[in-house]
Amino acid sequence: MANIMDSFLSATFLFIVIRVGVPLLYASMSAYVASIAGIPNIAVEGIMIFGALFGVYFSAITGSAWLGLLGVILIGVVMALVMAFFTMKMNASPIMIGIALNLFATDFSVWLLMLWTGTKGTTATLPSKVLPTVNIPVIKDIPILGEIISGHYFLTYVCIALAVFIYILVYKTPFGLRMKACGLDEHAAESVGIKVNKVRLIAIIMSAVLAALGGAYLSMGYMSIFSSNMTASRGWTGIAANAVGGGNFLIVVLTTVVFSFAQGVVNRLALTALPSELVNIIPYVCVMLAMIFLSIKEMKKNKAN
Amino acid sequence: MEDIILKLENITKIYPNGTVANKDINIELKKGEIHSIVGENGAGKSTLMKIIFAIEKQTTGKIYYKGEEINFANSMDAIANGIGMVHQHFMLIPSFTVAENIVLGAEPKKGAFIDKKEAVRVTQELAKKYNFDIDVTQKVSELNVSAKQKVEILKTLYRDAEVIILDEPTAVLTPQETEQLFEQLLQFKQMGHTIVFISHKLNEVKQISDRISVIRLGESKGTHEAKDVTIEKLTELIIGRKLETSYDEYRKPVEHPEMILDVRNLSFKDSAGVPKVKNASFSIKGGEILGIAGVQGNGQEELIKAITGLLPFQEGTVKVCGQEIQKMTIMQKRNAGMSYIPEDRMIDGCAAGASIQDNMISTTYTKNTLSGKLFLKGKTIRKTSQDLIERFAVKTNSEKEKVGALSGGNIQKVVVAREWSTDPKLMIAEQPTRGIDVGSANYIHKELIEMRNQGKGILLVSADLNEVMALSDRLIVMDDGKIVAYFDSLKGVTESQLGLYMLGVEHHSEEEIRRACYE
Amino acid sequence: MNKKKFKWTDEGPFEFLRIMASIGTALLVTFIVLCIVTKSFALELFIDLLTYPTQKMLYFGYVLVKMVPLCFAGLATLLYFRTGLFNLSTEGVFYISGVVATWFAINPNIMTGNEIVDSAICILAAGVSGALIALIPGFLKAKLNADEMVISLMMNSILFGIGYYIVLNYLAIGGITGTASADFIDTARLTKLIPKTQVHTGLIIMFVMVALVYILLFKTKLGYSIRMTGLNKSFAKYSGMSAFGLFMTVHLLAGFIGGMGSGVELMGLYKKFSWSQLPGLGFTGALMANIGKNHPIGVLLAAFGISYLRAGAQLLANSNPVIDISMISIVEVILTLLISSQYFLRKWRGKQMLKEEQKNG
Repeated sequence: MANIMDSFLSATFLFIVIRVGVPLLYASMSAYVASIAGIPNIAVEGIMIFGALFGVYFSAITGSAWLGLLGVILIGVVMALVMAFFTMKMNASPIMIGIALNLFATDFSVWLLMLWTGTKGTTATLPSKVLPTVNIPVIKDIPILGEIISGHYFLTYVCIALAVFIYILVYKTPFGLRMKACGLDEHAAESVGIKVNKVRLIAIIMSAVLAALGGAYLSMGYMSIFSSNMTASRGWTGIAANAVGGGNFLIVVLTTVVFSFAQGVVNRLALTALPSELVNIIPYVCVMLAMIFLSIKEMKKNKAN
Repeated sequence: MEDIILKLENITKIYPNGTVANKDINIELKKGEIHSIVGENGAGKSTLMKIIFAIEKQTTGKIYYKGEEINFANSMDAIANGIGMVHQHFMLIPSFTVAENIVLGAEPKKGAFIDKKEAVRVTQELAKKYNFDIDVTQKVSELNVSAKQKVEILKTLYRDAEVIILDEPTAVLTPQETEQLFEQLLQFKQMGHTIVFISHKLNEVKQISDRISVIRLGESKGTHEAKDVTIEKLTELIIGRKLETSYDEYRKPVEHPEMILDVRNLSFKDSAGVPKVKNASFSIKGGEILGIAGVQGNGQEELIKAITGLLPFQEGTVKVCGQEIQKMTIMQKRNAGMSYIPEDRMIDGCAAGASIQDNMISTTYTKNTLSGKLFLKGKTIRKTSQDLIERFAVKTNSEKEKVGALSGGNIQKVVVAREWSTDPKLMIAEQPTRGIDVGSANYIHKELIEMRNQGKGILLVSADLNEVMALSDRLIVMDDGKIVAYFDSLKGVTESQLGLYMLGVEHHSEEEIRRACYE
Repeated sequence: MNKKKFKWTDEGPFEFLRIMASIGTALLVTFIVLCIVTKSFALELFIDLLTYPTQKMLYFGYVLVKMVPLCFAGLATLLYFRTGLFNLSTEGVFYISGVVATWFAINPNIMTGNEIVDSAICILAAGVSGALIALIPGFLKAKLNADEMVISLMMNSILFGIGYYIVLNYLAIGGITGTASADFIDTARLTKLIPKTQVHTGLIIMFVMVALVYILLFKTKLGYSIRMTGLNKSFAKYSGMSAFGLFMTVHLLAGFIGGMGSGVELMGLYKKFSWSQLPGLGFTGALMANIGKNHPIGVLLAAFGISYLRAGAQLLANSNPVIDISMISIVEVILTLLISSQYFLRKWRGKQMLKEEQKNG
C-alpha cells in the first residue's frame, strides 16, 4: 500500500495526470467557450468522436499527420455550422440538437469505420499517422520538472497554449467581453449594438474545434488508432467541469485538474488488483459530488437572500 | 427652424395583430430642451420611443433628425447618430463592473486587448464631468436602483448622445433620488443635450419640463409650454372627456355581509432587503369591491403576491373568512375560498400551449365534481368547460383549441371564467382588463359586479384609474409601499384628487387610513 | 355533414406535414449517402432497405422485437420531457435494473417454477430498482435544483461500473469471474408470442405500457399536473400544484418504466446478461420522445419506424458489406434535427397563409 502512495507523489504520476488530463481540458474548454456565449454545447462528446475518427482517416489517406489535423479542424467547423444553423436559424433546442449529434456521431462513426476498414472495432488496419512527441530543449534535462512537463504529445502543448489563449480572449479582449455579454443577457448586448448571432457563431466554431482537437489527441497521440467508444464520456466530464466552474474559466480549469488527478489515480490503480470496474467510476463520482456541492452552495446563497 | 433637432411627422404604427399603437403623431423636439411626453399606461408612449430608437419600425410617417429625413436600420444606427435611450428595464449586466457596462460594444483598445485602465479612466472622467458620484470599478450587481440608472445614463453619454430618451425614469426612484436626477437633467440641458422625458407623474413633469406633449390612445393631443399649463388641464388632456362609465345601476345591496378578507400589518421585503410593502392593513366584507389605486410599482404587485402566496412575506397576518392563511400552501389558500386573476395572464394565468379545456380546470381539477381519486372525469370536464366558454362568451370553435391561439381579451375571459368557477369567497383581481378590447373589458367588469352582488369580497388592483373608480365601493391608495389614503365611498371623489395622493403630494392621517380595517 | 376545409392556420395538419417532410428528407439523404458509397445498385439497395422486413414473418418479427426497448426508453424519457426535465438516466437505469433482474432470474431459490410468476418477479424487480435509482437525480433536482442532465449522465457511468462489477463477480456461473452472468432459469424468460420468430410476450407488455402512459398523461390528475408543469411552471405553481412532489413522482414512474423495459428486454431476448457496455438507450429514448412529439402513440410509431429501418439494415448487413444497423443513425439525426426545429417550413407556411388570406380577401 505504501508503495502505491509513493507512486502518487512521483514525477511519473504527474506526467500521467497531464497525459490523461489534456483531453478533459479540451472538453472543458469546448463546453466553456460555447456556454459563456449563451448556446450550451451538449455535443462535445460526439464532436470528439468525429475528431478522433477523421483525424485518423485524413492522416491515413493523405499520409500526413498534419493534413489529418487540418481535417480534424474542418470536421469541427462543419459540426459547428450544423449546430449553429439549427439552434439559431431554426430555433431548435440546443440540448436536443446536442443529444442528436452525440448519438449520430457514436453510430455513424461505427458505420464509417466499417466502410473504411471492414471491421467495427478499430482503425488498426489504416496506415494512419501520429502527431509527434515534443521534447522541450533545456527543460527536458532538468531533473523531475523535465520528466513531468517535457516529452508530451504535440497536442498537449497546443492545449496549454489554447487555454492561455482562451483566458486572454475572454478576460482581456473586447470580443471576450461581448461574448460574456451575449451569454448573460442577449437583450442588453443587442441594445449596445452587439451582433449576438455573429458572436455566438464564432463561439460555437471555437467550441467545436476544441472538442475535435480533444478527439484527435486521443487517436493521434494518446493512442495511434481510433476505436469505437474511445472518448469514454470525457466530453460529458468536460461539460460537468464547466457547470461546476459557473462561468469562471480558472475554476473550470481547476475542476478539470481535479478530475484529471482522479483519472490519474484510476489509471494507476488499474495496475493493482482492485476491481477495475469500480475503480473506473471514481472520476464520475467526483464530478457528481462536485455538482451536488455546487447546488447546495447555490441554494444556500439563494436562501440567504 | 434650425433649433428643431428631432421631428416626428404623422407617425402611425399598426402591429401585425391589428393593434393601432400610434396614430398620426406629430411632435417636434427643440435642441437643448427638456421635453416631456405624457400619457396613460398603454397610450403609446413607449412604442413611439421605440420607433425613434429604431427598435420598432413605423408603419407610415417620417422622422427628421437635424433637418434630414432618417431611416435608422437598427439601434446601432440611432446610437451612432447621437440618440441615446435609458430603457425602463435596465439593459445592464450585473456581473460586469460599471466601467465594463459603459464601454461594452465600444471598448477602448490597446492593440488587440481591452485597455481596462483607460476604460476606468474615461468612465471615471465622464462621471466626474456630469457630476455623477459613482465608483466605476464596482460591480453593477452591488449598486442600488438609482445608481444603476446613472450607469444607464452614462452609457448614453459615453456614446456622445445629443438626444437622451428616458423612459419612466422616476418610476423606480425615491423622491430624493428623483430630485437628484432632475438636477442632473438640468445640467445636461445646460450642456446642450436634448432630453426626452417620459412619465405619467404630472407634478414631476410640470416641474422639470420646458414643453410637454400629451398622447392619448395613440394620438397626439398637442404640445404645451410647461409654464402655461396647469396640472388640472394636463389631467383632462391625458384622460380625455371623463368617461361616463358607471356601474351603479348594476350594484345591489348585500344584506348581513360576512368578513371576507382581513389583512393586518403586512410587510414585505424583496430579496435585496428593500421594503416593498410597509405595514399594510385593510379588510373587505362580502358584497363590496375594495379598489387599490396607485402608480405602478408602488407595492401593489408585491402586496397581492404576498396575499396569494406567490411571494413569502415577512410580517403580518392574512385572514380569509376568519381563517389565518399566511402559512398555507397555495392549494390550501384556494381551498379556503381565495381566487386570483393574476396581473400577467401569459406568465401565471395560463399555459398557452394547452387547450382551453385544460386551462379552464387548473384550479378546480382536484374537486370531486371533476375528478375521482386518480382519474379526471373527462365528460364532466368537457361539459364544464363548454359551459364556461358559453357563459363567458369566449370566441372559439372548440374547447380543444390552444389558448395561445386566442386573442388577449378571450384569453383573459378564460382566466376569469376559471377563477369564477371555483366559486370563491374572495376574488383578487389584478389588472383584470389590461391590454384587452373594450368589449371584453366591459364584460369582465360586469362579471365582477355580479360576483359582488352575490356577496363575495373583491380586491381589485388596477393601474387604470377609470376602472378602479367605476368599480370600487371603497378605495385605498398606495404610494411607495404604504397605504396613503382611504375612501369609504367614492361619491364626489375626482380623479385629480386621487392623483394627488397617488403622486405622494398629499396623504390621509393615520386615523383615517386605519378606517380601511373593519374592527 | 359539412366538409371540414383544410386551413393553413390549423396546427394539426401543418404538424403532420412537417413530420412527413422530415421523414422524406431523412430518407432522401439516406438514399444519397447510399449512392455515394455504393456507386451502383444504390436504388435497389434502398428499396431493399425499405421492403426487406416485410418479406418474411421472421424478419418482421425482428422489427417487433427491436422496437420494444426503444419504446420503453422513449416512454420513460417522454415523462421527463413532458414535465420539462432533461433527464437522461434511462441509460444507467436500464443497465442496473437488468443486473437486478438477472440476480432474480438466476437464483433458483427465488424462482418458483411458474412461468408467469417468475418472469413477473424479474420484470417487477427491474422496475422497482429502476424507480428507486431514478429517485436519486429526482431528489437532487426537486430539492437542490441540481442540473439533472449532467447528474444523470454521471450516474449512468457510475451505475454501469457498479452493475458490471456485480455481474462479473457475483452473477457469473458458479461464482467464477466471467464476462457474463449465469444462464437465466427457463421459467424466468418470457414465452414466445409468434412461433418461428423471436417475438415474445414483452410486446404485449409494451402495448399495455403505451396505453397506461397515454391514460396517465391524458386521463388522470397526475398526468394533468405533469402536462401543465411542463408547459408553464409558474402557471402550475399559481394554480396550486406542488413541484417537489411532482418531480419525485415523475422520476419514480419514469425509472420504473425504464427498469421494466430492461427486464422485458433481457427476459424476452437473452439467455444471460452479457452487456459489456451501456446499451445506449438513454439517448435513443430521448430521440424517440422527440420524434414522437412527446406523445405515447408518437413514441410507439417512432420506435416502430426506427426499428423497422434498423431491422432492414441489420438483415441486409449479412449479404452486403456497406450496410449496417449504424447507418440508420443518419435517419435518426435528421428526423430529430428537423422535428425539433420550430422554424422548419415556417416561412413556407407563412406564404401559404398569406395566399389563403388574399384569396378570401
